[in-house]
Amino acid sequence: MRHLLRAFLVMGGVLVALVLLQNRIHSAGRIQEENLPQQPSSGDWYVNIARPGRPVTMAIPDFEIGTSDAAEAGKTLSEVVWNDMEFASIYRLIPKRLYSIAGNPADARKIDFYQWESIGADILIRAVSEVQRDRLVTEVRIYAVLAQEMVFGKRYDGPLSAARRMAHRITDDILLQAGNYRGINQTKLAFASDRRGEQSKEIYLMDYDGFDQKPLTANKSLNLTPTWSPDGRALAYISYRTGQPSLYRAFIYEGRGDTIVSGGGMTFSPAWSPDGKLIAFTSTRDGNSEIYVSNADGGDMRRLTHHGAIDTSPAWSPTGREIAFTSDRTGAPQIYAMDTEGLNLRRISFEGSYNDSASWSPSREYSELSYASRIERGPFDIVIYDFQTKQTRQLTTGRGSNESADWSPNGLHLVFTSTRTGTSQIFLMNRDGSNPRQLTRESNNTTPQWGPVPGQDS
Amino acid sequence: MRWILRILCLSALSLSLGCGGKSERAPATTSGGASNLPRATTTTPSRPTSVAETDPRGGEISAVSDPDNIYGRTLDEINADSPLRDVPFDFDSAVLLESARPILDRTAEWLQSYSTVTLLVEGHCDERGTVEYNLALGERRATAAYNYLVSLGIPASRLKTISYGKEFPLDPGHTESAWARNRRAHFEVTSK
Repeated sequence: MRHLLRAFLVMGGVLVALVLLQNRIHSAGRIQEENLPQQPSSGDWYVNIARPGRPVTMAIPDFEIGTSDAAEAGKTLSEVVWNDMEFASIYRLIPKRLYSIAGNPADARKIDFYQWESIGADILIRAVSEVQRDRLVTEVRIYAVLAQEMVFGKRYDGPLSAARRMAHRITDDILLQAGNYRGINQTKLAFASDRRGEQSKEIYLMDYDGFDQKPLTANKSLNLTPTWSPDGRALAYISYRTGQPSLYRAFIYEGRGDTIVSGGGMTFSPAWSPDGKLIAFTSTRDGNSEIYVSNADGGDMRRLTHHGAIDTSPAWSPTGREIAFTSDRTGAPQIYAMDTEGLNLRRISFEGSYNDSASWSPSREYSELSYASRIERGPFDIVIYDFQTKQTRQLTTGRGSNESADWSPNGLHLVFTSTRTGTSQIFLMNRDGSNPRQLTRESNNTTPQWGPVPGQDS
Repeated sequence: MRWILRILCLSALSLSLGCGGKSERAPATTSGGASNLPRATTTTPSRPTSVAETDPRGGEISAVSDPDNIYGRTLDEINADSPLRDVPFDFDSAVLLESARPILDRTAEWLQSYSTVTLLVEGHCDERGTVEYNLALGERRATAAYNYLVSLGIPASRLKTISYGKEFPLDPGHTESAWARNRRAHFEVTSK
């Protein structure tokens, strides 16, 4: 595979080598969906299900196996949905050891809702998987336990090899149908890794849960700081492959790439605008690190900052009307914000001796900005500034150096790097700092960026 | 290819540093310029073979008066056993230290002796800053060294700058001395 890629690079002069799952763009790899006939439901039933004083609870028994050849895929589905739902931190999951009390729910007509109620379940998920004509077919039903009715049902039909992907889609559907939450279980993360050695860093992609890690670039150079296009179909990143760091773009499902900005000094720290039309970046083309904005193809470049200090690390607000960035104009790196004309400059961070890598929460509910903050002379920790309360809260606490935070598309989680295990690895956590999960363990992995929720056609 | 050379360069440099070869090769430099480089205080029982020893011309500081020193060697050999010292910096600073000036003065002198040589001035940072900001800081360090050399009369056309941020530490350690070695402007000979 690698030799093929190298030949591809040499022969075609193609800038970007893609090693992505090709079957994702073939119809055979698609997971088809079909809603199951369902009982009439009382509209926003999930609004009424919450009981005062405790979180809504959910029971997710292991998926039933319809045909014996679906045993392995069914086990994967059960595990992945459980993990996804646990990480989502929306529902309190009823421990599986209690389920035997409620009996075997295989037959819908025999679901003993009173027993499920007795172990505290508000919502019951029932699923059955089988193999039909070499395809994995899973039916999922959501029951409101108190109402004793099915409120949602869907049939999923996909390749046997796509069990994890099907599971992520099922979890996102459950979150949407049972609570109107926008899940992130089908998202991907992009990051830079030195796992190939040879003093190189390549851009990698992985599922949000750390599975399926794959290289996007293979040019044995230094490739850093990927940023996603909002449609999830492209990444911009910097590469030293021609010597000077320049800004490139890779269309990950089309196997092509192009150069966005090169020449005129160094170009680095790209950030794609929320509407996909613009890219902000840092360039030294005018003799000093300043922030520029151009069209996504590099055209129509204009300069936003005019200061002799270092200005870098631009981050777009979710409206696309403001850009946060780092400047050492007061002597030490601090976070600032300006509008996209470079006006209305204001300082955001006042605590910490060194603040960088701002990332604006995409959440509609919270107006927050994360960044890495060096408090005193210690390591970096991830902090969040709340624009409403004007308060800053610290999410990580001094275990290794914690950097490069970026938000999940729903604003409920963050990905970041930490050296808490000795090397730079990628972790997730919730926006309150809880629920940490380590995703990478090998070599050094840096500058993670959380990709958007994919459209249904991907 | 370039990365393999870089590894060779780094490993050769660390070998020579490890056995005190650096200080032996640079007896003429002013002591102030060497303050950031940890000199070997113990002598290793058997000195590992370094590029400097296999090349009969490499072990001399008389590079200035010995043109063969570079013209008889490939760029890779020159860079693996460079006559040019790294320029030190303080944390989160691109301000030239007093100890940096003798190093840069000597670099300029050397460049005047070899008037066809071109250099890439690399800015490097220690691991304690962030990835993004260190790219900018490294650029500023490289530019500080570049500006000083230009002020001494070195034509700008002979110098280029680049920043590697904190991506290529010279010393992979996590100590004050490792960080000090990693905050540097480094010179690579790109043509002669």
